[in-house]
Amino acid sequence: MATDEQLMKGAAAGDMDAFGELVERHHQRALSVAYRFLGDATLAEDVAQDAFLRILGAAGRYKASAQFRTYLYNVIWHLCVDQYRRKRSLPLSELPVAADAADGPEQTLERAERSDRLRQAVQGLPARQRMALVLKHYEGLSYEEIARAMGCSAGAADSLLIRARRTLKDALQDLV
Amino acid sequence: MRCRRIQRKLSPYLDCELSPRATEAVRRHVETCAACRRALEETSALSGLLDAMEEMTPRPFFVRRVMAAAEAPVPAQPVVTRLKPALSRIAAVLVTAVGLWLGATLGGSLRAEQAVDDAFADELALDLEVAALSATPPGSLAEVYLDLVAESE
Repeated sequence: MATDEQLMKGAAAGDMDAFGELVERHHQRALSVAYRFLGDATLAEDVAQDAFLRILGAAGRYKASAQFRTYLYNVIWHLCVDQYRRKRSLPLSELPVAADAADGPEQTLERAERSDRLRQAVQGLPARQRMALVLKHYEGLSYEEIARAMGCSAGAADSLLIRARRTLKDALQDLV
Repeated sequence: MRCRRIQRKLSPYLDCELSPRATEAVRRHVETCAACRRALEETSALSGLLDAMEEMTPRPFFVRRVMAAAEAPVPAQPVVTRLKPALSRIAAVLVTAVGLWLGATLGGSLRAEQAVDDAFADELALDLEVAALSATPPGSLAEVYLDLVAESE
């Protein structure tokens, strides 16, 4: 199986199959990060698509000095910041919550409300804290990887997470 | 370790980002400190809570849409936009060439002017009977000194 770096080389040489393989491998992760940051599914799809197209456009200049996914997160981070600056308060999309077969209607509603409150609380975080939290909690990146994705130091990533968690604890203290 | 310092480390502790020594120090402290243990439990509970945030379900055929956009022909750009990089290079070469020509022309005329100025100065010196370029102008201390030295020899 080709590595991400090999696929990027292929994409740089015009191999669209290689690029398609990259998109297939990483699109879920791209969408997840963009959605958790933006809180809007449509915007998240736009950002994720834009990220892949920009990566394709810059494939000739790609250097495998870091993992491809770190590079992808970096591109998504910049695109998310653009969206954040354009719309300070993004509309929170009302996603239907999948009903759990074991749940009754009350439990389903409770889960939906909880998920909504969480989303609002995360959306209330400043951009850098929000992205650090998304990359740590949902993508499992180390502090060093977060630092590379966001263009900051590992110490800064640590501080961002501490502040993000403190803010969320205050906002969700009745749930914690 | 004091509680404030420990609580500052609870976040990286849960993220397994501390050194083994610091990890052990935090672990030992929370075993004996109820307040820090409670803070750790709350931070840990927050992680569990974040898991409850629903994942996004993308619309079908997202990958296909990306590939379609990637393979779509690039719309033709206006002529000026397409020629812009080449025009920029030509402009840079022209500016450099004009600059060099101006430098050579003005530099040459400055040298000619300097030569005229020098000739004028010499003529003026002669007219005023001032040996301006002389190392020992007439009546100068240097002339007197040299005369004394010459006499003593």
